[in-house]
Amino acid sequence: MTCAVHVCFTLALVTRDRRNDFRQAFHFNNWIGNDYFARNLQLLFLQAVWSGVSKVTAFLKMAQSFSHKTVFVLDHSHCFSKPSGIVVDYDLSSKNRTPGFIPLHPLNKTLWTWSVECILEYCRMVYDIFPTGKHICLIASDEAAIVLNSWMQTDQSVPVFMEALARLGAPRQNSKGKSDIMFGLTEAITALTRCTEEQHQARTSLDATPDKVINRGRIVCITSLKSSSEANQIIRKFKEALIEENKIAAASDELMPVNECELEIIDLHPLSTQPALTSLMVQAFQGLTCEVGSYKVGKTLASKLLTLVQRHFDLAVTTITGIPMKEEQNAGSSANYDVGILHSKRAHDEILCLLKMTGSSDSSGASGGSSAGPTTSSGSSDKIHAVVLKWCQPRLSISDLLHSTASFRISAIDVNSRPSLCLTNFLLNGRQVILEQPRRTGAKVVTHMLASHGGEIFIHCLGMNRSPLEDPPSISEGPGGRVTDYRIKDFGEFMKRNRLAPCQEMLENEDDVLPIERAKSQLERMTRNYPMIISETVLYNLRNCIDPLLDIIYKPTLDEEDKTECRNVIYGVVKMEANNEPLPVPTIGTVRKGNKREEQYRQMWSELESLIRSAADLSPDHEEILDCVLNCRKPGVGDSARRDRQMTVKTEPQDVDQPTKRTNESSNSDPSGAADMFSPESPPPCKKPNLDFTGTFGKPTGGGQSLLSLWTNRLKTIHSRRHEEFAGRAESFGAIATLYPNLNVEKSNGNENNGNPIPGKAS
Amino acid sequence: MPTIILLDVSLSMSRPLTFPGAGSLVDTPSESRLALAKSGLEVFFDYTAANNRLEFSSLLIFSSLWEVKKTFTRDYGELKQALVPIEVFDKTKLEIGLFGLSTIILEEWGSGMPCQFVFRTFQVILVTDGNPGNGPGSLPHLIQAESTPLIPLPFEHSLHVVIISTPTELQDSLHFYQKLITLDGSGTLHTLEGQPSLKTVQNLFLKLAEKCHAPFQVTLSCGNLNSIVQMFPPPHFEAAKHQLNREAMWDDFKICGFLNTVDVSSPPTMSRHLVLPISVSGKYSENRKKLKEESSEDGSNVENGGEDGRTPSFCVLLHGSIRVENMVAVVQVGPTWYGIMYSWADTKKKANLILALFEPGVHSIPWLGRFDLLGPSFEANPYGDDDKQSPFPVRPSDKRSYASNPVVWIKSGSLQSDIQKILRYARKLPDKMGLFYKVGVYYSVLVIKFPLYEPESRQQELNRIRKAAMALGMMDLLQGLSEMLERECTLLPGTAHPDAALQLTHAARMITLSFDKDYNYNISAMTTNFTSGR
Repeated sequence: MTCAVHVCFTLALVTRDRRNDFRQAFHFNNWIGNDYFARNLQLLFLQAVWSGVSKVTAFLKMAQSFSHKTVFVLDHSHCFSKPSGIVVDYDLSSKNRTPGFIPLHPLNKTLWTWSVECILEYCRMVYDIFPTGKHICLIASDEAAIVLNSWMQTDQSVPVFMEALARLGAPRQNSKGKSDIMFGLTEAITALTRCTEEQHQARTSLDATPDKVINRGRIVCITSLKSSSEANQIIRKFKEALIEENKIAAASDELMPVNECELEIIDLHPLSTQPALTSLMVQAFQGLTCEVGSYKVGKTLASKLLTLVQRHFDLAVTTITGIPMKEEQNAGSSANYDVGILHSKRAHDEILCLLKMTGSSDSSGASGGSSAGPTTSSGSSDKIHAVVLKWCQPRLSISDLLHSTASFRISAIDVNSRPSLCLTNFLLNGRQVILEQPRRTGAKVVTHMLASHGGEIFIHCLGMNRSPLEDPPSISEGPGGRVTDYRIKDFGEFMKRNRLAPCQEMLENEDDVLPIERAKSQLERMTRNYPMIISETVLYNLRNCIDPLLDIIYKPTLDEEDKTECRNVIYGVVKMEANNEPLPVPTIGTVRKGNKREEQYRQMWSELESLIRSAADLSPDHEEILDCVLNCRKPGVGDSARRDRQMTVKTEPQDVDQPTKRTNESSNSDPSGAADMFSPESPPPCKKPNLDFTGTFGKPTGGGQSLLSLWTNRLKTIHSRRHEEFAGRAESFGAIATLYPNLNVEKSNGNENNGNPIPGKAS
Repeated sequence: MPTIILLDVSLSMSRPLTFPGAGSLVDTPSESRLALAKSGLEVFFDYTAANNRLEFSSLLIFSSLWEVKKTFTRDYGELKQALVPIEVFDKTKLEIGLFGLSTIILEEWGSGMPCQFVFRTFQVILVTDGNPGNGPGSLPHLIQAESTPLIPLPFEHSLHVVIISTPTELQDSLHFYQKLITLDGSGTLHTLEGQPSLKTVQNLFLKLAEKCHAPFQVTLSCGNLNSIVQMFPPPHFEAAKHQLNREAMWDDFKICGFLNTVDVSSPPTMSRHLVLPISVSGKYSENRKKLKEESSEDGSNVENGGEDGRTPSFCVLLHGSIRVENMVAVVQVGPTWYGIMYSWADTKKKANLILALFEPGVHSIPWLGRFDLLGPSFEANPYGDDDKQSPFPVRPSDKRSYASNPVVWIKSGSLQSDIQKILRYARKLPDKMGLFYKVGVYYSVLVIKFPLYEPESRQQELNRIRKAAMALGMMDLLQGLSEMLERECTLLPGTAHPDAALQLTHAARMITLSFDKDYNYNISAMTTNFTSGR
């Protein structure tokens, strides 16, 4: 995927910025063997500005981009041990302090030092922005080619390069052997024919054939030329070498022929000498583009490589202007600084788009001329995209989400300059900074944000256009929006419990389940029995009584300790019931006003049973807990059956409200219905031992009760009895199951059919 | 996504839709094509209002000029009103129409839609009689032009061309429109089927509306809890010019777990969608299929008003808790496609659930790690008992250059300041022993005006310079540094710590001695009687 995207960068670049290469781009279809591509390329050209990447992606899914592989060929011959002419006087202190001392001789950096320094900068920026997927190989060319690193990801870092370069050492001044840059260039082609890990994967993946993976790469060679004819000679030899190497590669299974190659020859010369080439030389052949140019040491070379890295990796520069900084020691002083950062050009898409469109319709073009606009400086043939953005403000609260449409890693252009360090440290310490487009007039337009995530700094593009989501309806206007007793807090706890965390990559064991799948199955377990609103449940309002159980029961496995805890909870409830303690249900939220103790216990038991039943298939241990619950409810089966019968007789469907409630529950979240379906073997009478305690409700609960409350309680008890029976029927398997036991029991207990409460004869 | 109707009001639109050779057809409408188009558009608007009521639509007319009849609105009654007074004008100049289209989209929606907004596409509906016109600005002219900024239209869109004409007329002009679609790269042609009549015109528009504005319904589930939801704006896979297709997205969006909003840290998202719970009767999955059938049968999803409001919906519960806890839900919408859901409010009052989709793939957000490696934190609890810790962000194994104090000596100043720094430490030996040999701290620090920050630990100064000089082939520098340290030794004031001289001499000697040593060799402090006591 990443590769495909990079391809697009390159292509978009080719089509946008290097029109002279456009013709050459048509050759691609030879390698792809796909006319569709060629046909669409023109379309692509027209649309590149607008839709850039996305369209190409499909065409070149399999392809690899130019920037996937870059080889640097460094001239390590004695020529490069020559002083460059740029002197660095590093012994400054002795001049100031002690006039008696003779200062040390200033350093005269060699050509080698210059080329290594600039290449390391190039690599530093690449690896900052593309930690993976971009491969660089260093090759020193002397009397033979010396390959300093491989394409392996572990070999792709600046410290590795530095170590390799230190081992190699500077070129020797009086080397006698015959050195030739062609050694390095030939080796560079060989390196390009070797696969990277990504290419190897693409070639060996099932849906691709090796021929379809296009092998592209760049070679940047820093050497010293004597004349332009020497450049031509090198190019000629290079072409021949390319053909040779491709022949070898084509015959090999391991190697890939280089389909497309860019050769960039940098002729480096000291300050004192004249350049070998007066102008840039560009030559294009099928599958090969060559560019040769002469550059002075120092800033010219550094800026050339900065240009190259931008062109090669489709990068752009953002200058952040007006950053208020002060010296740490001197809190009073403050000044504004500018810092340049480098990142993918896509971060500017929207700004460029905007300017393009305003530019065409708005003739004033004020923004283009001002610092707001992108400046296009044409160093050699390359266009550098640079945008100036203004420091707006650090974000004080990072707890809310900004609408970020894209983010790209950045690198600092001048990494060790004090303003740059100040900014990067500020960001690395967790601050986020909003950037805006500098405008002379009008409202400020916030376009980007800088933020670090895990030690990497990103530039985020912020959505700055009108959103079609504007003025959304409130969720309270939609379905379920008028319900007020959602278990918001409980579900919040549930969410915390189900927070995700990064896990280790698993070993190559097919039995292992991906962590994300484990997360989903945990959610599945924990929602098997989850009432959404407070009034649907008694059980979940009793957290202080049964709390460890709710957390434990959905564990995939239970240990002995867990089981003991669960049992303790169950026994605790049994004890409470036996002691006639009212369930500590909070009064708020329980919709049913006439919710009596026995009613609550009954509902609690059935909820508890179905909760545990829903978890019972997780392990035998869970089943044990279920058995425990069932056993605890078992005593007094006969009594409950008797009571059942008695109430069946009494029942009249007067109370319309309660039954509807019931059915609602049983269909929605009251798990009893579902639970019974899980295990038909549990007979309905078993579920109602709690009815034995119904009598307790008739007892005066305290001295302070008024006559009215006694009377209303009594009436409510009667009503609740009546509907209990109905509910009980609902809980068994349909109506028939409930009716039969009732009929049987009726015969034996005909006389006990009045609705008065029977004071607590709890067996 | 926003719909824009571009209605042809050229003179040819006033022709009735009859074929010359079919006089026998008495029923053939004598109404003008414009009137037919209007009635078709009414159907279109009605459908949109019923099924995609949050959609913004706009009405533009063009002939040799263009005019906005109605800017983007969700009020479909007003749109229908706006149709009524429209009359015919003169020539058909499509270029003018397209220009107007681009202008209004720029004005209303800003800079068009770069590629990252995969689903942010405009529905452009061009209604015409099929007469391509002639002369500058006409369709044939436009197609032949070498290049024009208007084709393809300069924003992400899908173009639907509706041609109200008889089959015979169509034969002459169809190829122009086909060419237009091809050049534009994304679009479809819609022509009348069967006998031209009011009914077929309306059918044509209804079909188009179904194509553009069919409600996109999915199930949002979190384990066994679920809600049927409608996504707005609906993702238009056929319009999106990327590799995604409908198969990339499931019909069942699965919540995988939750994250703290702070940890998610404003991730880039390619599109955002409102997630609106619909019709409560299908709260449980057994009812779900039935509901789906129902809603597809009558083509609309009628809200049950008050009834619905009172039946609990999982979405509302989720939204409430997400808002209270300041968390987001991680949602898997396809085999390798993830997003987050959070509470979002345009204004402070009306909050709703929003689904923000990441780029497809498991690597989309580096600081969250691979999505498929996100697992339950239930047992290990990396969030800590007091909830103050977090396993995020996921850190890369290697540091970036700006965090690792690299050596860059391209500018002479930076080399000089590095040397100055080491000499400064040298003079303060043995107090600065740690800095000299080991951990360095930036000596003069600029800070952003607002907060102070803790200077980060830096690697060994002396050894850092040694390594850099070796890599860059600057052994002269090391030789010079050695001499400078020796000289510093002679310049030490009488009050200096006796250890200072020892350490300086040691360091100076070690620099030269280590020329032949390995790159990874580290010069360490000399152990003296003084150091041991420190």
